[in-house]
Amino acid sequence: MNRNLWIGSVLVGLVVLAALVSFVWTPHDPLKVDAAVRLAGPSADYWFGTDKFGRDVASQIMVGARTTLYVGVIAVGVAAVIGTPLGILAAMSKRWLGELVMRVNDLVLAFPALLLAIMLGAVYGASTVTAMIAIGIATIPSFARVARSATLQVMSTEYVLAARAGGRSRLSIARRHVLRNIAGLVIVQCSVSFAIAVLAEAALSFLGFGTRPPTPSWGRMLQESQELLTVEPRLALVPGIAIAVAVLGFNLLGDGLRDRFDPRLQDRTKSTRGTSSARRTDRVRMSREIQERR
Amino acid sequence: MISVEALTIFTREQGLVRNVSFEVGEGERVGLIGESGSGKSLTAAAIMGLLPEELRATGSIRFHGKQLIGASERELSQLRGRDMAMVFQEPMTALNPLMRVGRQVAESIKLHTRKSRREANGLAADLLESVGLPGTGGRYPHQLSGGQRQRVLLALALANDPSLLICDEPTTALDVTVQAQVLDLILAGVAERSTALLFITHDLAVVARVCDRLLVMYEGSIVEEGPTRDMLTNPRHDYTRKLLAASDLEAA
Amino acid sequence: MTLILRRTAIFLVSVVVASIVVFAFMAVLPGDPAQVALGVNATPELLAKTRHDFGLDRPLVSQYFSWLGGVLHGDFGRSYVTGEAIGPQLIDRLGVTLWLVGAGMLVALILAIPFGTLAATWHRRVSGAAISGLSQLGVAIPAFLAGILLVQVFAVQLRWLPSGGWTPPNQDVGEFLRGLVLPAVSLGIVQGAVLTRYVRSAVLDTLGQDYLRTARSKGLRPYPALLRHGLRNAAVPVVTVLGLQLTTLLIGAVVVERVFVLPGLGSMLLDSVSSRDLLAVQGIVLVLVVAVLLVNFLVDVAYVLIDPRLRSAERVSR
Repeated sequence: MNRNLWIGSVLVGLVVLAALVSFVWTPHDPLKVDAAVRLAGPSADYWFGTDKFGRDVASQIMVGARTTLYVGVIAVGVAAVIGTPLGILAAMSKRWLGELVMRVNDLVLAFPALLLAIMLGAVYGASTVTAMIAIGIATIPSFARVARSATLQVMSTEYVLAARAGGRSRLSIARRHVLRNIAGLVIVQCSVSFAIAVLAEAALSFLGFGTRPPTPSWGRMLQESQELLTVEPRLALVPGIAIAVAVLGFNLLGDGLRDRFDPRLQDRTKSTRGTSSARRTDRVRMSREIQERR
Repeated sequence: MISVEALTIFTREQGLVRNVSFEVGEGERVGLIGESGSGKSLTAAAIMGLLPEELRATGSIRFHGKQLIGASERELSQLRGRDMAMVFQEPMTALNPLMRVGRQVAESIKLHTRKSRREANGLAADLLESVGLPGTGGRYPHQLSGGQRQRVLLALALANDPSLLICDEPTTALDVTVQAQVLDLILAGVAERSTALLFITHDLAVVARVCDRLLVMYEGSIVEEGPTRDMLTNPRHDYTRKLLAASDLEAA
Repeated sequence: MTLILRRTAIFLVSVVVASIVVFAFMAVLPGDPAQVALGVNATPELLAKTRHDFGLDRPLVSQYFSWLGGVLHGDFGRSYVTGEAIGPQLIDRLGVTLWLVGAGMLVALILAIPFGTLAATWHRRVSGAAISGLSQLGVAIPAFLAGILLVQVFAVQLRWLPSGGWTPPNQDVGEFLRGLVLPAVSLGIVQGAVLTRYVRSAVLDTLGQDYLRTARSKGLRPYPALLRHGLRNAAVPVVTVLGLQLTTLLIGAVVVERVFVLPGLGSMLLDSVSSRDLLAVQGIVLVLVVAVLLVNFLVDVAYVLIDPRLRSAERVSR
């Protein structure tokens, strides 16, 4: 288990743990307003202190973790479920169809998550749901691209060429070979996209286009902390660190999984022999990324 | 002209080349044979001063009397390309893909002489012509075949009339039909300039053709050496005999 | 050359399709702009007249074309809410956002190129690993958080720089620059971290390449070899990523404008949405989307120009 995987899992685990525990127990009611304890500092009772309304920050962070994870799971889920088949399809169809799908893909990429969320918010009123859907739609292209380039590679392996020569239908090839082989890369993309989704949700909540009050959300906690920054920087630092932990965790997890799944890193053939493992890793990573991009 | 004594190359964990000593005289053509992992490429790299970071070399390498081990990067880079040059095994990746080949050859000339850009380009064009690639200076590497690229690399190496040319398996990655061509060019090139040749390979047939003297390397040491003819007809060391048996050479 | 023409064609088609998507989206919105403009108590006749004035009683297709036609002339119509021409304000605001994005990209490059290269050349040492780790951290921080923290330190505590506001460059260059520093740095630090990782990867990959070994064997010293031969090669994957990063920067700018109260396109967008000024939203979204498409197009072209291997035959597999 490499180091990235380790640290990433621990960080993500922390966030998930906080969210799960929050269903059963939080130190205080995160929504409870108590003017008497406004802006209290950290103590045994209020681990991270309280905010300007007297709400317990720690509890807000824990429940906020839920929001973060909800949005991430739904957004990434939607994107993976729609994007992956699209990418596979694009790789397996005739040249012009595949090209067309990728062009449409590029077009969707031109509508960044924030923009979509703002547009959706304009129509339906901003909420967690609009944020989820917007981020989800904006993430579809990444999955489509990864799925497509991975499928193209699988399709050109001798194994698959033999199967096609033997007369196997494309659908059965997809089922048997493609899905199994690209699963790893799709999982990696899930992790990376999750990190991006967390950042996007935070930004949206910060702008007021995400989770509506009073549901706790890390991004909104940051926005609320702005006016009191001079007096209580803690109110900005705590949610800020929470966001950073989540994003870092998912990124490292993704990197770790990537190294784990890439068969080329196990490869000891001539082209990489003699290079140090660090260089080999990076060389493979770079060519991966370029391939995904194009 | 170049004398290697007690050359030892090692990493922190193990020794890769042990106590290797040999000499190459002016204009001589010496072959260094052995299988992969025998340390022959490392020996060549040590002479050029291009060992990978994690490796250390001790011993002595005297080139025209000058000690190369421990020499500064500045001194070494002045020698490289001018007095000693190298052609590597893999022609497909040895040239900068974004630069025209003529310019890459000319660069070698401009590095070590005071020639103007135009003169250098002219000389480069002549060099390319001499290796059978007239008028290709304006092409990019990806527009040339493997054999053609290797010829460019040869032209590049010989550009400044070095006194030592090291070739590390220069034809191994090429098609059989092209191999002979490149070998001929190497021989012609060194003959014309009276350049000494250190030719590294695992192929006995090639070495028989190109070299006067042979050094056999096995697991980091030289196990046998002598004139090519003698070695091939009368191998003494076990390993040499195995190599001979495994190749397709008929008795000369 | 045909490759460039193809890309241009694709770009233009994408722009048209994007405009249709944006228009359709806005047209589908529930709500009546006339109602929004006139308020709840408007009479049906007045509503009808206003709708006619706004051109809303014409068929959608004709509305689309007249809107598009106007846009191509720089006329984005008149706001349903304020009645003012949207175009001039949009251009002004766009200018601010562009300054911000440009400065942000500059900061990012200034950070990423040296740090990324060092991280690559020192990749065996602790210092290289430290740079790498720092960049991972930088990626995890949202730009607006960086902004908030920077304001806290430099504007409030140290009072070196203003905490917000905008001075146009032609009015007072000094104040303009001072006001630009913190927002640009907030954007730039985060983007710089992302780019550092890419630069590191690209340079590391280049360092291992055979043609660098050839360059050294010619007699080039390590750094000159890297500069002359490695740079352009390393630039290829970095340029690829640059386009993607510009998109992210654009969006990051929207958020950072909020933190620093900058009169940019982002804040105009948010304001228009809250005031239901749909025509303005339509125009702004179109501009943003076209900007993204344009950047990606330019990156594609740059890619072809840098790498001669792309010019000859068509790539077989993508």
